[in-house]
Amino acid sequence: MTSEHEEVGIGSFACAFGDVEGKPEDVPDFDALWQTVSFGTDFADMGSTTYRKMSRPVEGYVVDAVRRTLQGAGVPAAEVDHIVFAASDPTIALLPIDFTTNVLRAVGLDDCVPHLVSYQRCCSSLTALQHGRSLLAAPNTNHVVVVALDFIPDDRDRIRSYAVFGDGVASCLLSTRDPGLVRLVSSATHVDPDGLRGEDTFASRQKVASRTLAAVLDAAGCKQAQIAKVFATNLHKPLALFNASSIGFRPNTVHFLDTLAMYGHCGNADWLINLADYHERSGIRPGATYLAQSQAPGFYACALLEGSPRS
Amino acid sequence: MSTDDYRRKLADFLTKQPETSGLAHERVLAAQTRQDLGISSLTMVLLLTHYVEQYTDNTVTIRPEWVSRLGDVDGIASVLREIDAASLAPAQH
Repeated sequence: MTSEHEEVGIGSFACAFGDVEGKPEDVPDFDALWQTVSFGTDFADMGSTTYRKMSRPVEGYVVDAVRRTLQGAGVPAAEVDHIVFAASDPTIALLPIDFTTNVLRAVGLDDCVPHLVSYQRCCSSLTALQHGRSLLAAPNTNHVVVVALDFIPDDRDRIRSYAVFGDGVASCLLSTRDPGLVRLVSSATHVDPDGLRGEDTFASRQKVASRTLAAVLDAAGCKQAQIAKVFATNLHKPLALFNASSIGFRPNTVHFLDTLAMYGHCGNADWLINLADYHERSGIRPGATYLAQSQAPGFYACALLEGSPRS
Repeated sequence: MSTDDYRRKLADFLTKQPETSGLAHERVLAAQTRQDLGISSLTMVLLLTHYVEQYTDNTVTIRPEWVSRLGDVDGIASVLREIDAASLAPAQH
């Protein structure tokens, strides 16, 4: 399934979070909002301590992340062939009409084709990663930037029954010339029709998650037990751990707790943020197998990644 | 313990949890579904977390085969029974 692109390295992860730190409890009308969505549960159990809010237009944070991705890889902006933006559905409606041209001009991406992947809510960035890699199959195409962005303008919209939303951007470079940090072994996204109708259940969420995980494992000829770490979606701590357990992952396999506490759920950027955080703390190991995972009402996506050999 | 015993254990447990302390014992015994008790997904997950903490000292983790049973009350009671059984089983190495 993936051998044609095995030479593509994915690396130079960079994150840019909102510059203003807030506490969920300080959101206007927090108590009423939490009571409405929580059904009497204690917010202290949810694992979110702070979130970040963008005080300036999102382009600036995207430019910052992309610049750092290119600097980290030592790749001049002029050598980037494509940039794939990924955003959850509500975010694309908030982007200014000149968003893309502003980013391209600010970074100096002079011969770079922009793309947008969305409509898969918080799973959009994993499809963007797959799309980015497929672009590298074309002749004379060597560098693709994937950048995930999500933000919430009204603080009251941050408090949900499944997560506390924060503002964040995360980017990485896909390259045919550098092994990077990981390579993409297989990926899949599936739909939970009950979730699209707002009628998802434990069973429907487990079904779509199991189906998607089985697809990436089968495509890679890999066993679930080989997965060293899962880079998860920053849902409320009990939900994220339960969802992982529901498809057979032990809680200590899932990496998300520290970023959840600091940044909350940064939409479709979570798995990139968690991978970057894990690498900073523990280091991605060459040859080890990892799972990037995203979920949203109606969608589940995951990608099997393998640590690249160090040059 | 029988299924009815675990229904009663579930009722005892729910009435002592902060999230469900307003539920009457009799209402739990009569309910068919989790929805009848007004227990949300988030609350159900927290209740399971509390149960595992209180009755197994966190030695048991949620198993995939339990997940689809959490929509009805007999299913939840059966999960509690299996959590208890798992906590008594010899550790797997």
